[in-house]
Amino acid sequence: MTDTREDTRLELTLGSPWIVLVWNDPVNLMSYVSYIFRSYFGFDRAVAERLMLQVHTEGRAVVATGTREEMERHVEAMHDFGLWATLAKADA
Amino acid sequence: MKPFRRDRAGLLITVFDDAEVEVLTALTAELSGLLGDSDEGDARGSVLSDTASRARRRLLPDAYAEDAEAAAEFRRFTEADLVARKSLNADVLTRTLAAGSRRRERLEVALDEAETQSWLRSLTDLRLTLATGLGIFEEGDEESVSPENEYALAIYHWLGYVQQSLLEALEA
Repeated sequence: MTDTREDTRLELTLGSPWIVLVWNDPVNLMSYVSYIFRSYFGFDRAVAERLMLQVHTEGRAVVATGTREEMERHVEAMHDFGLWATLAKADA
Repeated sequence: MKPFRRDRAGLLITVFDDAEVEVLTALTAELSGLLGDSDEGDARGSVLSDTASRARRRLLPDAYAEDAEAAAEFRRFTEADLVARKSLNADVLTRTLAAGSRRRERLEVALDEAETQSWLRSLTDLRLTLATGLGIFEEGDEESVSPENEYALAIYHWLGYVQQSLLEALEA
């Protein structure tokens, strides 16, 4: 018997990856953004600070890569925190 | 207010004076109203004012920047949940203020872990809403806020101070 769930997951993993972008918004405190990157994504302080500064200076940063479903969950979590986040195809 | 600090029980505590409690309560009620209103509108158009509608969009931004159809679909599946959670966070803020204990002319407020998370999120939502009314969308916009909005700008900054203080106590 074929486990179809397994097949679906494999297909999702092999599909072209998606990314989560966090965009700069002057409202969010730098300390809050860094805290979210650590507490939600589990980044260490150095990585979280680097990504936070990238958002601040370059206007956006890629904070996650993976399947579309996973990235949608991350974006929803970012909106819950009040951050401005979007997802897109990695090669777009 | 005094900066938040952690007490022996592990709660994060601070004291607000009456004027601060009043401002927080009023703004949170406004936020709850904004979240409670539907942005769908009917045949006569949206029931929300322009600013309210923009604020709501800022609280619930498009998940896809360049794909309106995917953004609408994402909204269909997530918006009700997100609104419910944001409303709950606002309720927690109101409830914890109401449950504060009197210390002479001031109110002592104590937050557990879950309440702290609600406060962090709701303070952000409050600032996003205020920022929309003040026209703060990009870095530097704060400098061009008109003088008649000085009071709202001061509250916007103060809410940032409250959030910063809460974060520092949380991570201390």
